[in-house]
Amino acid sequence: MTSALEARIDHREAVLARIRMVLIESLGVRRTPDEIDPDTALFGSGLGLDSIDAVELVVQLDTDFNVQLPNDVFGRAEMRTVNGLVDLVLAAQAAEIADATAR
Amino acid sequence: MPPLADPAIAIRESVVVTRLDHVHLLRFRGDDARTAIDTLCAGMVRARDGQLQHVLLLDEAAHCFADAYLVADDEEYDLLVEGPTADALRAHLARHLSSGSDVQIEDRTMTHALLGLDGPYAWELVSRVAGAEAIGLPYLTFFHADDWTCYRAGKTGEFGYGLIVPRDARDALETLLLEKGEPLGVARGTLDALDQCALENFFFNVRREGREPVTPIELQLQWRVSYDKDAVGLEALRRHRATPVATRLTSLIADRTVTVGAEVHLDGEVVGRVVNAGWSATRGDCVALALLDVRWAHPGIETFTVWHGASAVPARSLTPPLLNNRSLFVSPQLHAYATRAEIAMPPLARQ
Amino acid sequence: MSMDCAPRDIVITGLGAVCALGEDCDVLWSAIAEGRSGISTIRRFPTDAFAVHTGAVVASAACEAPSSRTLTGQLCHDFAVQAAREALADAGLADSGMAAMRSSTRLALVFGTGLTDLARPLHSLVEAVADAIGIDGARLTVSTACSSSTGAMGFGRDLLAMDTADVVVAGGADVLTPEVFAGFHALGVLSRTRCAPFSTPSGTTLGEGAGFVVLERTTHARARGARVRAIFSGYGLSADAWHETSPDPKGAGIERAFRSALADADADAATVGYVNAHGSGTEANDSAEWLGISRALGPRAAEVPVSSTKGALGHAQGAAGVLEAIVTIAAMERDLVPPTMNFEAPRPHGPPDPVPGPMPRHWSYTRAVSVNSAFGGANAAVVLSRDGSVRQARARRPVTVRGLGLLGGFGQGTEAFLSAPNGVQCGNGRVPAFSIETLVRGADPRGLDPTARYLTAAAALALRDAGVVVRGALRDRIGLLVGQRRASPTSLSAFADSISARGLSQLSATAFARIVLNAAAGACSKLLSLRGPLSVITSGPGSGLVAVALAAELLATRDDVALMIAGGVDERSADDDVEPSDESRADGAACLLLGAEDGEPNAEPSAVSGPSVYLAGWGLAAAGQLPEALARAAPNGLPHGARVFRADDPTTGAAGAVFALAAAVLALRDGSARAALVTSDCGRSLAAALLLTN
Repeated sequence: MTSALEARIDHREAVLARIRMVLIESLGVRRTPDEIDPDTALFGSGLGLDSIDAVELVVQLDTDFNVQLPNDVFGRAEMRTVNGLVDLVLAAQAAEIADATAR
Repeated sequence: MPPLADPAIAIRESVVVTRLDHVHLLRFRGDDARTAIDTLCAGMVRARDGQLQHVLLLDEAAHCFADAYLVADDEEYDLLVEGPTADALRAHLARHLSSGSDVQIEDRTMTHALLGLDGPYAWELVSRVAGAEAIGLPYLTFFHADDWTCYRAGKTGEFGYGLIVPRDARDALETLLLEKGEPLGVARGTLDALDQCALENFFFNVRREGREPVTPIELQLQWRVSYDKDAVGLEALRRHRATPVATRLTSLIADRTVTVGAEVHLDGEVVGRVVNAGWSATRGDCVALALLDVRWAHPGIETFTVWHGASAVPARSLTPPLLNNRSLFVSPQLHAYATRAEIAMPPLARQ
Repeated sequence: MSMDCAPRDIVITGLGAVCALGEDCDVLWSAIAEGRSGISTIRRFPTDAFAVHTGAVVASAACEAPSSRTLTGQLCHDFAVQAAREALADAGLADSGMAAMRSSTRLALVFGTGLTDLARPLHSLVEAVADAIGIDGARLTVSTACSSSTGAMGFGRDLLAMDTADVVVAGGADVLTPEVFAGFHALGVLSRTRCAPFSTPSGTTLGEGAGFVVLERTTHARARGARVRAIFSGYGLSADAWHETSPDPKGAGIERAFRSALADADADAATVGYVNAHGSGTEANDSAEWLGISRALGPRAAEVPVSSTKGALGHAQGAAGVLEAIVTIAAMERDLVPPTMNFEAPRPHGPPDPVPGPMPRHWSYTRAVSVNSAFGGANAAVVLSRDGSVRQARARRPVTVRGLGLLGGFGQGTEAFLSAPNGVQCGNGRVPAFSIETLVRGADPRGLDPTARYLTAAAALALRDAGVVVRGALRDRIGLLVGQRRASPTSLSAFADSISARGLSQLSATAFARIVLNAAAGACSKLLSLRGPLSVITSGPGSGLVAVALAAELLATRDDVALMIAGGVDERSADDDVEPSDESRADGAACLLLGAEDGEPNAEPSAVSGPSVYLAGWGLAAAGQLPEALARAAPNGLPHGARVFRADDPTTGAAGAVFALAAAVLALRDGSARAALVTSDCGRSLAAALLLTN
């Protein structure tokens, strides 16, 4: 297994851990981190968050991770699971690095 | 019979009507009905009157026994159960419910039938038959109409509804639905088509990956489980949890067909095996679920290979759900099938 | 018309309004008649950080910047005083020249508002308004967000029926503040352009203002030669028991409030000629509301014009109900129906006749219903008529105390309460930790602040004490009336913290939903399936006792309610240091389960052992006029040997007086008293007296 792959996975797991803490601390999800499976749905079933929680999540993604997501249907389509949130953060981080390198 | 479309397409574009004959319908009554339900379900029972809850039943080894919807109707509870045979279900109830308790269980599987409606415009078909109340029906709630019940739930990622009807009224209702659904592009659904949609949207399938000798932890079903209560299988699950779990269910994509049981390799080593697979007409590739070593059970890994017979099929892991379901962008309060072209949507397949 | 008017025949003799369309009723009506809108670009505070820039503000205050909670209170006060003065003048009861009449007339003020998180308690703002307009009678404050002033008119009618006053000024006021704007914006319910009820685009536009109607008995109005603007035929309340901010999508709550109002008015749905809908314009409200209204109207529904004035007035929040009623009355007088402004293409699933604007339309009718709903699922409807037959006097049903639910520093339940020291008994101390799941099966504690948990716990304990299980049809016939001083300090802090940490444009929508004063009552009604009448009284210390009296009045006079949970709740700040020194330190909740005795077919015999306890009488009066309240509670004098329980300590909060009531109930249950009088007179709002007998 390449060390590059392992490093990527380690980084992903670190972001996953932070996202779990946001869900627990800011959205009041009453689970321990390891009980929140990565592909668990956020809304409807899964964690059972609702439309007000969605608003809060969009704000948290912005303030904690610098992810700007439109707070509409299109934005919501990007954040359906815990892993979906991790993907958004990783993409934003990659974009930031690309921007910084380009300058 | 009107010409019907391919259900695999119709489920993602309009609506399908499917006979769900494999589901057992049980009704629980009595002062201890709730307690009995609580003993059977691995998670906290939170459904209030008028609500459904997607629940999981485990066996004593903490393996999946049944996938069910709990319907809370005043003081009575329905369980719509998928997975075990009728005999196995009966034996499970007899083994785990105390005989002294005040609970009567009526098996309604013979007297009632279940029809499923799934698709981005399923709500529109339901409202043509059940009235405007269906328009605003929230997810995981239900209402009664005449002698049948309409609930909103599904496992495809589209709008989904179930109609519980007296068995002798099923055929007439099905005919009516197909008739009223013609202008809505209705198709007759099949269990295979529904299963494929569940696979694409990461809905647990008790008849496929649910047959594996693993627990909800490996299957990413902890949201349906509570460690703070007592129920069948939870003792074993708590023990299992005490040591780090070795595998996790992961979504894979391949450009060619792969099959259940196939080994998954990464960098020359075996890292898991496929437990569910199917060709996606919507995406144009093969979707699979594999139980992989937790170290590699992450989306975004491009270099898996799946052994199909003698050939190695390249595969990559992806974050499910694998589609931008059209239902996300359709609002029953605002839209209609007739004007569907006007709704703005992103591409259907997610990369 | 017969002179034998039942005491509940009530008329409206004066109207007063301040809103975006104008600062008196004439200007308001001209604007409606000419098809003008009060929605414009907000200049009062910066909206650059938001995607929405429109609102319906009162013109003379367009540039006032209520950047502090004190200024918000001042604006609310000024709007209210202006509108109330106009209403009194319109009724021929203005200060000048009426001194003699005013001195012999008991005037009361019932004030509805959604304002929360002001610099001073709500009840003192209302008391200041009453002082400014010369009302020294009873002052009642109703706080159910966007249906507050609708409910205020209803309770105003009840105060007349209870002989607490001769004339009631009822209505409310609210202000468009940056915080409320940011909160609605965060929830995604504001229209990017202008509120277009039942049309597109969906979304609401916030407004503000104040409105009051003058209510009095027909006999009283006639005796002084007052001009009748309309008949207040009846009102109804209900709870969605559904969600913090979204309405029940089936519209069942609106339907219940509508039907209850018609039943209260002894009116058939077929006599309703026009409906003024809540019509906020949001995607969630409009279709759900039409579902409920159409079911309540019955077969003729498609023929009845149903319009919303929010396209012109904006969503005036706590003042919406009364302002919309005023427009309805003015229109009905002129054989017109008000239009729905900004109406272009109809949104699917709306009323077939929404009276598309901009102009009112000719329509002759003699009865209208005005409906409002609110966050937390508090619905209210009023029936307004132009002529009416004399209504039959209604037999009053006896009211019993079926159960007690007590939660405080002593723990839970009646035994813990009885063995607690005196101070702890009336609400001082801190509630020990407890799990709501042990009291309400399957309850999800996520999303419940302490106020909501305390109230739900006390309500659940009262039901358990009575042996009542809320199931089936009972859900629609059991309501909740709560006395509170303020929203949960935990939620108020979370809200304020989110603003200081992240700015207004990113405030916590979750916390915003919880700072509406009726959020706890809404959460409680949802967890316990209480779908009957719902309201929240915020009239200062002793509000809980006032809530019990009003709940008893509902039970005694309506046959669509079988049970009412009534009481009070207080939450102490986690950090005593941040609490102003004059705020109460009370922590806990006390609820009674009251039942009506009418041979209700589903009634279960009370599970409580011992003699039944009757709530034999209740009376409300002006603060400092306890003998008046007593005279109404015990018109035949106090029974011999009645024990007196006084609850006059303002530090015991909203629930304190209800703990005293509980002690009285327990004394009757154990036989140590055969009758008891419970009184509260410790603020500047109301005095209350309740009589219990076996």
